[in-house]
Amino acid sequence: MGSAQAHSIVEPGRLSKRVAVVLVALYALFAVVPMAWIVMTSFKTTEDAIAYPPKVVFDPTLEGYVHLFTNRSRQTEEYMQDLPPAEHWWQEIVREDNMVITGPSRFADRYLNSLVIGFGATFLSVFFGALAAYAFSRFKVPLRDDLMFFILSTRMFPPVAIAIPVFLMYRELGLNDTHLGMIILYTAVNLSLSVWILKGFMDEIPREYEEAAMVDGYTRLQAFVKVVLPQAKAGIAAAAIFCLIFSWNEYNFAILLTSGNAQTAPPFIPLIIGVGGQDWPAVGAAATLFILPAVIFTVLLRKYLLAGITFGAVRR
Amino acid sequence: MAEIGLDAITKSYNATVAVDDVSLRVGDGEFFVLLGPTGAGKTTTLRTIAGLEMPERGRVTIGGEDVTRAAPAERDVAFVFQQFSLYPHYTVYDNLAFPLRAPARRMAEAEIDRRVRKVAEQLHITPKLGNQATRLSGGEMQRVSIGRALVREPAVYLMDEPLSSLDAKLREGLRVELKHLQVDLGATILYVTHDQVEALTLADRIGVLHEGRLLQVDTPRQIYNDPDDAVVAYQLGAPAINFLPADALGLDTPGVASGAVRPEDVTLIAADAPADGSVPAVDATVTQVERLGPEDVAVFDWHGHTLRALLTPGQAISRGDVVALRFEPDKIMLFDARGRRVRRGADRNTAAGHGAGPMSQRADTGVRNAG
Ligand SMILES: Nc1ncnc2c1ncn2[C@@H]1O[C@H](COP(=O)(O)OP(=O)(O)OP(=O)(O)O)[C@@H](O)[C@H]1O
Ligand SMILES: [Mg+2]
Repeated sequence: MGSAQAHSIVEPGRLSKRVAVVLVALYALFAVVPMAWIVMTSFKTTEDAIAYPPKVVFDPTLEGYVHLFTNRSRQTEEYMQDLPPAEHWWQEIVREDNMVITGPSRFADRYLNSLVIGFGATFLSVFFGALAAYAFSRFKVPLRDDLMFFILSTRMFPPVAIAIPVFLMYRELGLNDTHLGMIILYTAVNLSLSVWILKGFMDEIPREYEEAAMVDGYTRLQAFVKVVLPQAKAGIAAAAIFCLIFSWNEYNFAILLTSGNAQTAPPFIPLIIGVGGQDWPAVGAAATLFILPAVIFTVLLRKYLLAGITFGAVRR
Repeated sequence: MAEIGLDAITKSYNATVAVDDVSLRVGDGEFFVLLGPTGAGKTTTLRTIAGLEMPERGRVTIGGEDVTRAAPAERDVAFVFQQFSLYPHYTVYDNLAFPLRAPARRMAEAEIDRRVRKVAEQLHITPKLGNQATRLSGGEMQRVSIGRALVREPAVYLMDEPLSSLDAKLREGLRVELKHLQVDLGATILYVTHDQVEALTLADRIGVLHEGRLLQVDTPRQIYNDPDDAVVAYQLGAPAINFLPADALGLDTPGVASGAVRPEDVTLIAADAPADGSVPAVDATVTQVERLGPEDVAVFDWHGHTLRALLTPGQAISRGDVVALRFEPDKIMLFDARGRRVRRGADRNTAAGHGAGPMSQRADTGVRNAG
């Protein structure tokens, strides 16, 4: 209408495009450098890791990773010379520092625990969240607004505030230091977020979609699975990413409620620093491996997120 | 195919009574059109029949069976929704196959394929079968929506303004195709529209719905020629019927508040032609001439009342002309203060013997005054 819209609002001008590219590139650099530094550290030797000035060019080694996955003990030179030749490359790496591997470390266990608990809780949060969100979106639920607020309010206090009651309750129920206990706990915390995200998406899906399916001979549950869930993909992806990030990173409950059996990676990683001096490459390796699943998961779901953003433009 | 019955259906949303005591019978193989302005309760009526809304009162029967409490899936109806309801995550083919793939139906893929292709052929969308449902023009989407109902071979079809979002040409084409299909299939169709042309051309019978109430049910010809209600008279016919207060027409029949005359029943005579005395003539000023093609419509101002008349081809008048208008007295329909038809004694014959809808009963027992 006015001259303010003289140029297209859809296609930005060339100059503003260039400025945007430069800004984004700068930000990307700013965001990526610390991550790159962690990954680089994981491939350095202990000496290179603490060298000053910091080394950007170095001989990569898997020492950090070997240290991360093993327990080692330092031996005398004579002992080392009497040893039979190394059978594996990782034995070789530790022998250079006059050490022998005494057994696997607990990192693999902890990492596996994190995967089981993180993805388990994410699946349950999204599963129950989708059902609850659908019910809130479609049915006449008595006190709907109050219930929705109640669900949100469970997220309002810091989780640590309920740590002691949860601890006592879990002790009574025998859920302390169990995978099931941690999955239930993380699901409970995540559910509020998942219900709220998914309800927003489900409200956007026209009722006619399911109604058409129901008239055509599907039950409501079948219509939900066949029609509503595929339409809510973007919401499911968003909720799943948030839920995974929370349960993947959670530290407080993990340190309080788990120790031997169900301990996740976050409380374990800081322990690495103390073992045999400050082993920064091992810490870097742990951090690198720890970041990986969250990154892969987010990248895999990214296309659904983008599909969700364009959803509103589809004529229906 | 089967018949549909509604017995005294009432449905309200909070304070709004969307459907108010509606009774209706759609015969087996009948093309029934519910006509009404926006907000009349047309969609609500269809949704009640499909089982998507539960009426507060009343009974719904399909094929003689009481389905008032039955789930939508159990009713064997096909519904073409007012808004497009194609699944964007499916192709056209899968959209058409979707109703047939319902787990309860357990239809073989070969049979599904056969039916989908047949319907695609009928609706001329075969080349689009592989398209994503969102990559279609509005007219193609509408065809697919209709197609999704046609693959089913259900007891009854419910169609909610299926042609509303199309341009005039396409609508005309699809209208003809739809009528052909209905005759071929012998289908029972309850079709909803606010377009009187669609109603008049498609329907075996028309029901006029207004503010949730069914005012009249009749054949297109009867409902046009012999409306029971001022609203019905106004709904049908374009240009719309002319309403004039009784005193302006010189009508002094007790109980008559207004008279109405269709534009085609208004005759133009030259201003200086001698009045023959038998028919009242009035002088009116031409304010506008609308050229519609085959017939032109003239708009007149007569003592502050707006009147419309159809012109015969070649009748050359233009803005500002003063002409004499003549209404045949027996073409004037009389209505009381509440908009109900007031019939003269002679009108009885035409009013008798048509449809068995509740409105015709009301008309028979309604106010009648000798003219
Ligand atoms: N879900 C609803 N909640 C509240 N009121 C509703 C709802 N659906 C319909 N109504 C009201 O009921 C009345 C009838 O609505 P309905 O959709 O049946 O009209 P319609 O005849 O189909 O109109 P249109 O030609 O615009 O589609 C309207 O006054 C409408 O506002
Ligand atoms: Mg409607």
